[in-house]
Amino acid sequence: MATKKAHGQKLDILNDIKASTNKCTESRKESNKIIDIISYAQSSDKDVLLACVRAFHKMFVKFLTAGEMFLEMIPTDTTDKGLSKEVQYKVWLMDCYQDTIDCLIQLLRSEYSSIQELALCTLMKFVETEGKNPVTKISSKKSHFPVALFTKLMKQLMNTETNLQDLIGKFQEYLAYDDVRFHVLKCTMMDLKEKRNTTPGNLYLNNIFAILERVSFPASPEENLTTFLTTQPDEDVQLKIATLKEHKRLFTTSWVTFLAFQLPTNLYRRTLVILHDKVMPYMTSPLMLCDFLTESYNIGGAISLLALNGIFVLVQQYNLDYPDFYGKLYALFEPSVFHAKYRARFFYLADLFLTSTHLPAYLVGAFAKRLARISLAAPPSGLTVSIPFIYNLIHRHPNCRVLLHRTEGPSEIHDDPYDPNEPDPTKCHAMESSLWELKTLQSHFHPDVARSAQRIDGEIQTIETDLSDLFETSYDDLFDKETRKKVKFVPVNFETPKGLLGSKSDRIKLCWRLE
Amino acid sequence: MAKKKKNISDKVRNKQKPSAKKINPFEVKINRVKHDVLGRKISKHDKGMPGLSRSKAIKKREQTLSHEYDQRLKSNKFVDKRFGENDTNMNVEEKMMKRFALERSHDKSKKFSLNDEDEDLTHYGQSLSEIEKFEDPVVSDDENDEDRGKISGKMVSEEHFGGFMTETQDNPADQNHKSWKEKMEEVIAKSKKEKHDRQMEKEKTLALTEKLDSEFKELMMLMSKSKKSKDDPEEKTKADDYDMAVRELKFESKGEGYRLKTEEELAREEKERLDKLEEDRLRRMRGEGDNDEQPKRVHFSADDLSDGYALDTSIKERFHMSYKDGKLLMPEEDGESKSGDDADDDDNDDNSNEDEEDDGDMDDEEDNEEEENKEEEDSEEDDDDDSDNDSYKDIQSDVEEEEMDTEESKAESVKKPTAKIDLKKKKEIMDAARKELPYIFEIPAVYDDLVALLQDHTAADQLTIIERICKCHHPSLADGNKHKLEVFLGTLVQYYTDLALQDPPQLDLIDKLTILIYKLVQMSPVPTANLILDQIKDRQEEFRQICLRKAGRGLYPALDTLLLLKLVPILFPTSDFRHSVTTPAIIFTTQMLAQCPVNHERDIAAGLFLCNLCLEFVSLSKRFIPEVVNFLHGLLFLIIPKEDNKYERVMPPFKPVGSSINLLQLDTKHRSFEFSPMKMSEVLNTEMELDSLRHDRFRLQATHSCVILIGEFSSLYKDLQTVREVFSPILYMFKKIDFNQYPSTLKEMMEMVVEEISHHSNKTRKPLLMNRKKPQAMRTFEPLVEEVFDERKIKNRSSSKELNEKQKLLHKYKKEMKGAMREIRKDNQFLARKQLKDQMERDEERQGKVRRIHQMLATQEGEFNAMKKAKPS
Repeated sequence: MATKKAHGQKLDILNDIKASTNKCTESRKESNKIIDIISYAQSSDKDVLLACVRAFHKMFVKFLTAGEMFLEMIPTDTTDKGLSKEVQYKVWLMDCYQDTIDCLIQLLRSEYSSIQELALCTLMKFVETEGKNPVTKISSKKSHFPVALFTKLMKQLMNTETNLQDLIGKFQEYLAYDDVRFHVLKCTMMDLKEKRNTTPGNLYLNNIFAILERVSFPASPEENLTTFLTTQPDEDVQLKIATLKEHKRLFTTSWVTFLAFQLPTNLYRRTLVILHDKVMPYMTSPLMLCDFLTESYNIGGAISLLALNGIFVLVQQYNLDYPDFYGKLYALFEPSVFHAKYRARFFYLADLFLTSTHLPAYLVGAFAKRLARISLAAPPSGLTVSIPFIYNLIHRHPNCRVLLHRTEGPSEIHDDPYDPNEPDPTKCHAMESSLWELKTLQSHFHPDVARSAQRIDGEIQTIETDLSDLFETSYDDLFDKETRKKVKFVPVNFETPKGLLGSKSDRIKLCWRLE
Repeated sequence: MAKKKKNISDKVRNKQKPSAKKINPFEVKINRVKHDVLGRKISKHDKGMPGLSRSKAIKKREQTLSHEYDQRLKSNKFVDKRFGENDTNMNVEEKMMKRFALERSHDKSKKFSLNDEDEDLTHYGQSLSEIEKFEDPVVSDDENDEDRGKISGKMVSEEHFGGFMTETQDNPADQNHKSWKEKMEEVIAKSKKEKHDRQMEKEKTLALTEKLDSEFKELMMLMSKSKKSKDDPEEKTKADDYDMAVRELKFESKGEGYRLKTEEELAREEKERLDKLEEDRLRRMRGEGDNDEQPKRVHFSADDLSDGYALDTSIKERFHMSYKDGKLLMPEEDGESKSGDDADDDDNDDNSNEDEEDDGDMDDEEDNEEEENKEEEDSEEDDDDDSDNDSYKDIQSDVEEEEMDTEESKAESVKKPTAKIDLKKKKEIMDAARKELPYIFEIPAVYDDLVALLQDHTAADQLTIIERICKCHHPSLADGNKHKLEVFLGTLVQYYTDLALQDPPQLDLIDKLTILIYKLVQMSPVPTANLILDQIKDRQEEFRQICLRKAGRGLYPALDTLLLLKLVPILFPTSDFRHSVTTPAIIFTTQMLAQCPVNHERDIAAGLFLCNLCLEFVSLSKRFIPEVVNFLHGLLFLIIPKEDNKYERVMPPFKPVGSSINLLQLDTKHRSFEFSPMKMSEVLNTEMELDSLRHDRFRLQATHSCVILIGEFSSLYKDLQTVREVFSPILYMFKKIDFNQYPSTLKEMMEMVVEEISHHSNKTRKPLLMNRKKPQAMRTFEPLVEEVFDERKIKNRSSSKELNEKQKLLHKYKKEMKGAMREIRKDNQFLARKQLKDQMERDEERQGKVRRIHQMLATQEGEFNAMKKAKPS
């Protein structure tokens, strides 16, 4: 009963909100209803809140477009009795508007994602409408963008207590507008600079990252920007907001400031993953990231792997002279690389770095030998890449063929001349060795790996293998590949078992018994 | 014969002779050849004479089809059964010779002879030939036994039918004073006297014979006695080697008559046996005795002597003979088996038990199974015996159980009130029968059915049930059985894995199920392999989901997956380079080894099991599995004492830091320990407490197993080129282990393994050399020879030989099919023509008749009219 009653009550409220909204929009006389709606918006019921947000949206968009709140200049003293009724009404309405905005901004942190989204949409609609129909007179030289409103919104989005990443995801569609982007970047930069010397929480950093990650730039390299959410300022006036360069400057500063913070590992990795692709191309000078990347590269492990990509871009496109690049790359060839999450990226980059035919053969030989050595402990998914990788290296550098085909020197060697513990690829004597590892892998349990390794006996390929399909291979892929085939013929054992452990070839008996 | 030996020259000459018949050029149709190919045989298709061939075809149809059509409603037909009439290989002379010989060989006199040796006539079930031996066979010596009681030939010739005239003419005087009557009396007297004489003589000889017989018997007795007493000891010793051999040979030759039964026959017998047992069981459960009801005889043949001589309760019901469509109608239950070999079947029934034992001897495979069967049989036989002894004699007195018909029981109890003891025994039998398993089971369609079926039974009974299901549905018994069994295997495998999940796991039953699964897999490898593969796929999918949720880290599987994987090397060969089941299984195994972090003791146990499985997978092929080496290395890492601030290098899934890095470190030092293989149910159980294995006993056992496996793998991989590199991390770990902590047996083992690995590592190697390229051979211009050329180009030569063959056959089939269709069409046309012709003939005839009648009527009418006209005038 109680729920029914509550339900009835709720329906009443909803109807009331609807009616009030309609009345308010119809005549000024009923405007006091706005206060009621604002008070309803303090409720915690989801449906009521949604209805309120919709009501706000409807009313104020109408008021804004109709210029109900437009004032030539805001009177200094609002309580002045001498003001005309009209002005008084407008000032009152303005107050209501401000209250509504505050209310909506609070709702951005609501626990219901639908309310969050609706509030965000409403606010952005306000931004849009207000930008087109300013509440005060703004000279045409200035941007019409309602900065105050938007700053409030951004502050909320970048708050330090709630994780708003999903909401920011929704926010992304507005980031396509140049003016929105400009103000977002500006707000972010200001905020970051404010917090520069503090240690903000992970939530804050995550929110910032979510915003920065989603900032996108138009594909065309045109200097002047023309996509605006609000009214476009006049052409002849050069505003900061309309120049791409200014955007990029803000973007760069934001990122650099952001990266100066102590990032949590998870965020660190995500940052490194997108850095080369989504950040570097839009920075005024990517070399500013050099310190960050170098530092990351020296950390080792997966972070190094990821930093590799950024460094590569710097080296390749921005003429960064990185000392001992290949030495460090060599150090990254660790057995654990096959198990790393970013294995595909690593091999892709390593392949890229070693594409050059101008590398000295001993260096390439060292890489080949090292890769072969770590392959000994690699899963078959890794081996499907590493073996063709080695073949490609040898193919590119015919001098390395001695690794597979040694005609001179002693016919029997006791120890492998290769020194796996030597960090310097130039001193590890790889070229005096042979790739016995591949010989071992010929008897690998996986048929594809074994077959691939068997190529060292004959003539290895005359063209390079395209590795791009192989980078992502996983155990699951291998399993699928084996099971996908239609079974046409299955040999079976001919020896009848005498039980679970009763077959002749049984080895489980060694360590187990059926009890 | 002379015809056949014609000279070749003759042939040639005949050929060269232009045929006398000149072909009308308008009748010849020439098929144009598109391309003239040199050397191709002139095919017979390039020239045809459609008119001629059509007329030929029609003529042929007139002889065959038309004839058949005319005869279609005729119920009797002339069958020429003359010898060799339809044999085209014989010429007339040969036929005649044969027929003559056959005729001669028929001995007509024997046709009605009762003493034919081939047939054994019976009366009251006893051989007549035996009955004919009267009490004391008085076999007269004189051969012409037939004319006993008749007048002798001489007499007849002299006295009868005027014969006497010839003799009596010598003394005509006598003739006068002897009347006809006297003469006849004389004749009679004479014959009587003769008869008497003969009888007397016979009696005399008989007496003499008997005397002689008795005397001889006495003599014989004396002789045999003396002989026996003399030779007895000697004889026995002598009878050994030679006699034995002879006897053996004798029996052997006799044995040749029996044919070894085929698998299907065996299966059928088995099924029949089970059917019969089921029938018996059901009857016993209902409380009926074995021969409670006298089998009713539905049909008595004329030859049936209802003498009860061969009263056999197991005789099956007879059936009325009836025919339909010229075939003997059979009763429905087992018509198929009866129609073929009635007698054989009965034999089978009788001998099924013997056969059973024979089977056991014949194939070792079924030994276990057979033994169980025997046991069952024994028990059943016991039951049978019981029922035989107790309920046989007083079947009518049986008072039925509560659930049985009460009225009847009342009446019967009134009749014989002394049946109490039997009643008790009877009850026992019935209970036993109820406990006893049914012999026939429906194959469970879905898994739940199987579970429901097996739920309430003990492990042994479950096994029996499954076994019986398999036997009842042997593929040779019915058409769909094979498929049913395949589906059943799926459920069985599922059951197998679910058994492993029970607490405690029913490993005994699993053990036995393995054999059954093995047999089913042997029956139809491909579908069953698919089923097992599907199971593995499901597990892998599950594992994949776990990995997705846990960021690439898996969980060690429960015992069911482990045992499912264990099933693979039992059923399928592991040494294949690539195998549809084994390869995915091993990939899955290694995946788990590589992706599951070791967090507690059970993980170690499961990992060890997987390593052991890997060992089994590659023990024959000696293939290299890096994951196993990594895992064993990781286990050693768990064993070694850790130094502070120094991280050892370990491979994923092991981590250099964490709470679980000291899982296998012993608490205390152990002097001695009794090592034995680990118990599966104990350490692989997922239900157990996490801490239940946190003791040194498990650690020692795990270490022991780990060392064993390392030893096995090191000897397996000793021939690898890089054995040193592969095992160097393991060797490094071994060096850190304090051997003295461990019992002496384990310590020795460790030292031995270390030494072995070092020994294997200490090998020289040769630098790699690629194979020299073979110099390419010069191209040869030998023609490509096709083994069987059938004038057809093979479009897709690259495809396999089998496929080519299949395509060829398909083509041939198509061709034949087309031809056959054409022929049938032409037949139909011909028939239609014929029918039309017949119809037209009949119409013609009818019209003629009608016309004639009309004519007749017209004339009558005319005459009548004429008469009418004439009358008034």
